[in-house]
Amino acid sequence: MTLHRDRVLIVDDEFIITETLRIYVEDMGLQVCGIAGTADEAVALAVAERPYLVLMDVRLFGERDGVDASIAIHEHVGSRVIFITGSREPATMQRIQCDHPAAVLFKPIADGQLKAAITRILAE
Amino acid sequence: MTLTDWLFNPTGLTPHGFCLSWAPGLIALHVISDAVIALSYFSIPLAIASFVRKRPDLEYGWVAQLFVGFIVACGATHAWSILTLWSPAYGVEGILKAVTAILSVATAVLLWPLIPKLAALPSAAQLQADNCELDRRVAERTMALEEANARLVETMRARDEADAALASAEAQFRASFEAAAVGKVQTDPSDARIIRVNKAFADMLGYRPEELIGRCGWELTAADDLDADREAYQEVLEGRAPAYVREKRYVTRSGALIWGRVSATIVHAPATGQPVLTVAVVEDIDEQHIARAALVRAKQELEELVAQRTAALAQRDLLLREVYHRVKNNLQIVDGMLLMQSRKLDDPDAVAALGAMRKRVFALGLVHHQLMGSADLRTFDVGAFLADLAQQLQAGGAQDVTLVVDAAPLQVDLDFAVPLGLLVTELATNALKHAFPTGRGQVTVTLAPTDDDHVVLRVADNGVGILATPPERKPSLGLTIVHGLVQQMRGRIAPIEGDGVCWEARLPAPRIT
Repeated sequence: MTLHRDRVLIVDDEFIITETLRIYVEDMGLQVCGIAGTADEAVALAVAERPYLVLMDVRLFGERDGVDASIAIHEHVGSRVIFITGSREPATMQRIQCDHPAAVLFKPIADGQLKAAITRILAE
Repeated sequence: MTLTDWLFNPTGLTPHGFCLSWAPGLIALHVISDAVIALSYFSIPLAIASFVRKRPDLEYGWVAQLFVGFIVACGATHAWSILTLWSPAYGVEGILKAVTAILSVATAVLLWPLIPKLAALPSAAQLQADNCELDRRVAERTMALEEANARLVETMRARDEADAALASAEAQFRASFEAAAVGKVQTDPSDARIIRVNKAFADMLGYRPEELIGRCGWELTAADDLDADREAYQEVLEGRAPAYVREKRYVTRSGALIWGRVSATIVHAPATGQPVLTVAVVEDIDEQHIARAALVRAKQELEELVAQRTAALAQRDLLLREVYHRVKNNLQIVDGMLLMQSRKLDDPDAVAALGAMRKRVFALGLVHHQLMGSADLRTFDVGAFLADLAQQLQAGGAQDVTLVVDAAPLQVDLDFAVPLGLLVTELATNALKHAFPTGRGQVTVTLAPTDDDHVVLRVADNGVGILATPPERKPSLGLTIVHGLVQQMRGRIAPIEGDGVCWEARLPAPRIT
């Protein structure tokens, strides 16, 4: 089954940040197919909506984090995942790198950074 | 005729003087001659008898007795001849002569066969020679004896010396054994019975030396150490190990345990090779052991403390990272709210103002991002920070305007980086905004240390060369922030002449403690 190239799933547990990301995404003419605050929600939405891109925070509500969610999505859906994290801890970075991320962005992110990353991935 | 008559007057004849006609001269001659002869004859045998009596060892002494007998008899006949001058006692005279005759004949008869024997008797000269020889031999023997005696004396002296040396060695050994500061024990290898201990060893265990004699050495070893100690001792006894050296616990009289270091060797009989004596030196190392144990405890405590401190430091690092993370997240939220707000505004000035605000917020967030990635969570290199900042400032601007950063290596902390980041944000934003109406040009940000503990920040453009604020308007927020921050940093800032606009700020170098 194919993925929707114009769909983006946003995974973050902070409203203001998801709203910011939504503005960036929509400014680029893409569609936000869902906003998830937990890993389980993220996997469920990805399976249901089959987005080509996922913007993934690492720290989430619940026991499982963004890396866990990303692994599941990679396995069941195959979406490309851009990690957006506030953390630079080596352990976290190592886990992210194991998951073949499409990009890793650090907070604070500026719209230019995100736009550049999305453009690059869509062009691949 | 009676015997008396026969003896004294046998014939009735006249005395002998009558025959001499009583001639006084003649009578006197006879009397004197006979008297002298008789006296002489009585004297000679007396001398001989005396001599013989004094030399009882004389060989053939009986010959001398015979001489004494016949001479006395001769003397008696002469003496009786004087009497017969006046008395006709011829019977007695005859008897005396007969006796004299018998003795004389006997002597004469016995003397002849004796001659060779007497001749064989050594002469005085012979005796003298013999005597000399004897003296020489005696002298030789005496010398030999003296030599033997001297040897004997020497031997005895040597033996005395050896005895003295032995006694001295024994005394020395005793002294070194008894008076040694370390404990010394001698035991029987077969059953470990104690034969001898010194005071130091007994004192160590709270006993008197004599109380330990005959006790089994293993009774004094702590029960927990006993098996291992016996095994080690057995190895030495069987020659599998060269020496028995162990640190072990002894049981004192009061039942307390004390640590000792024992070194034992086994003495073997030279002839049979059998073990005959175990000699042990025991050192009291209880205090050392206590001190060592205390040291080990102290080290453990120190290690625990270090581990605690390390954990506390790790915890602190974790907390710091968490704080930076949250600060960044909150700044991201502020940024998000500013973005959301700007979307609701129609006034382009207001939108621009919020845009400028978002850049300032981003600069603050970037400082915390750098701090999170630094090893000590306190300092980072200013170069990477300024490069990230420039990239963000440039984003969304004109394609042909470039922003170049040239920063010397410099470690900065939060207190320095925050105002510096804001300063660069304001000056570069200003340049990007006003210097290039044509949309082409370059903004250069340089940061270099000086020799006098300062850093010089330059933000220069090659644009149209118009200072930001026209004189008729009130100063912009950007410039107010710039001047305020430079003042806060105890620095100076001034525009300098060039192709475009160039701001140069001279700031005290960051003090990293």
